[in-house]
Amino acid sequence: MSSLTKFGNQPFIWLIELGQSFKIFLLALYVIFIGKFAKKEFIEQASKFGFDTLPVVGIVSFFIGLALTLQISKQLMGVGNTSALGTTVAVSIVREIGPVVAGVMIAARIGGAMAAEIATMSVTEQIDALIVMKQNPIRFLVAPRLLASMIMTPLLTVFAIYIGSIGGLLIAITYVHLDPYMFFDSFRLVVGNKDIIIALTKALVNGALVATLSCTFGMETGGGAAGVGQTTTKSVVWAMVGIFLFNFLITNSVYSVAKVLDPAFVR
Amino acid sequence: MNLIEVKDVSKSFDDLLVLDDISLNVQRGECIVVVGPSGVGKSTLLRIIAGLDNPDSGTVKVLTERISMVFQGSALLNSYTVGENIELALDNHKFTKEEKEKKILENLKLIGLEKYINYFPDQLSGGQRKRVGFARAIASKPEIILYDEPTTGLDPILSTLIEDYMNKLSREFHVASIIVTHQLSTIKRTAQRVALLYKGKIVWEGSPQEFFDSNNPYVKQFVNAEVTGPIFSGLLE
Repeated sequence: MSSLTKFGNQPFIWLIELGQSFKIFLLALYVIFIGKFAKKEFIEQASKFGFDTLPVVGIVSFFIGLALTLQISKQLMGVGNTSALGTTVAVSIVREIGPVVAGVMIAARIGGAMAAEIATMSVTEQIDALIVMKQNPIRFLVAPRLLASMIMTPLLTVFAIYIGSIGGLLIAITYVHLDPYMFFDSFRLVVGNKDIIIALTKALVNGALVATLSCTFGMETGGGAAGVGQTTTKSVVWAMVGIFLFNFLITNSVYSVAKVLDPAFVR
Repeated sequence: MNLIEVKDVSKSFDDLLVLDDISLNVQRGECIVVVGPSGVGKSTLLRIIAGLDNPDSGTVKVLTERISMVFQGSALLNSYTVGENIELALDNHKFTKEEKEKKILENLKLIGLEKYINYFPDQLSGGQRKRVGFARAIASKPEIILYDEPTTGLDPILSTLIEDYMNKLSREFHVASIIVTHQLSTIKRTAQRVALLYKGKIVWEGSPQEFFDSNNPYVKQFVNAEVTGPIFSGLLE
């Protein structure tokens, strides 16, 4: 193959990889649906999510909650309307910050580790060994990770929202001298079931993205240790791009639909 | 009866031709040792027969589903214990839980590692992992076993133990075997036929006795580990 042909094919490689990822996602979903995934692996992966990600998601969400509330409160104090602080922070954290922070931290902490682990299995012929033993790698590797990710990412997102809100509350009390009851009351007024559903939908998509991309890229790894490193970076970058892209797409779709069905939601 | 029929198989990676029109048949109970310098496509040939890679051209017929492989680096699953790794090979067979446990223990006893049944692969030495890889490959009583450097990294006594068992599998249980190795001792103890692979082609084929007595320049250089000869000049190119 000439270098020109190789270059000419480059723009389509990512399309092929996306197609392959989607195919693996569907196959893993099917395996989960029929309950034929490796249960032991699922438990191990789910516990990894909790132990490895909970502290870092908590710390990052707390500081983002602090910084976000500080920024918003400065603007609101300028116009003399600090009573809107709770509602503004609530909408930002529940609809956007919580799902994105949890997704990004999971992509970096779990997605990277997942891609590196499966890539190592690929270059050390462990996946080949499974195939020779007539064991389905989707059942053993992808489905347990996908399920763990799709269950744990929403839980971690809820955790991120709570911790981010506590950060916001701290600024509201110490900097704006707002009554905590008033802050949370505005939270309660503005955050409804729909917001929770949007946040959890985003979290579910983020979880699926991280696991699918990490597993697909991991299984296609060759080229020894260097290949493992490249796969790890690639899966984290792609997962993060995917998280931001789908976050925008979901937000945009929700607003487009709400404009017609529930104008109050948009306001 | 041939269990493996490889006909006119070629395989390239990018611009590098690794296998060039290779043909090879292996009968039930036959043990063929494939030798050759590093990087001439021996492992690729095994991978194609195992169905892990596809040939660019040619055909491969494997006339049984019961095939297993001993991988060069043992390829044990790190998140599974030694026992669970062997159990994976038995999963697709209709064994009861008790039968599986019995078979796992039997195979571990064979390689002297029954005490390590609950250990994880990263708690074992390289040689121990290699032995577990061997036990896993033979556990399901396959009709074909492909060995990719099965005794590399083992001490001479353990190598003899494994080679004797490979022999037993071919002669008593009529397992068809292809062994890729660099060890001359493995050829002496196990081979019924030897094939020397070089530059993607089988440049010499014959019995082990003929192999060690051969005047073929490729074989002579390989057996005597001579630095100069057709193989070395080829590598310099």
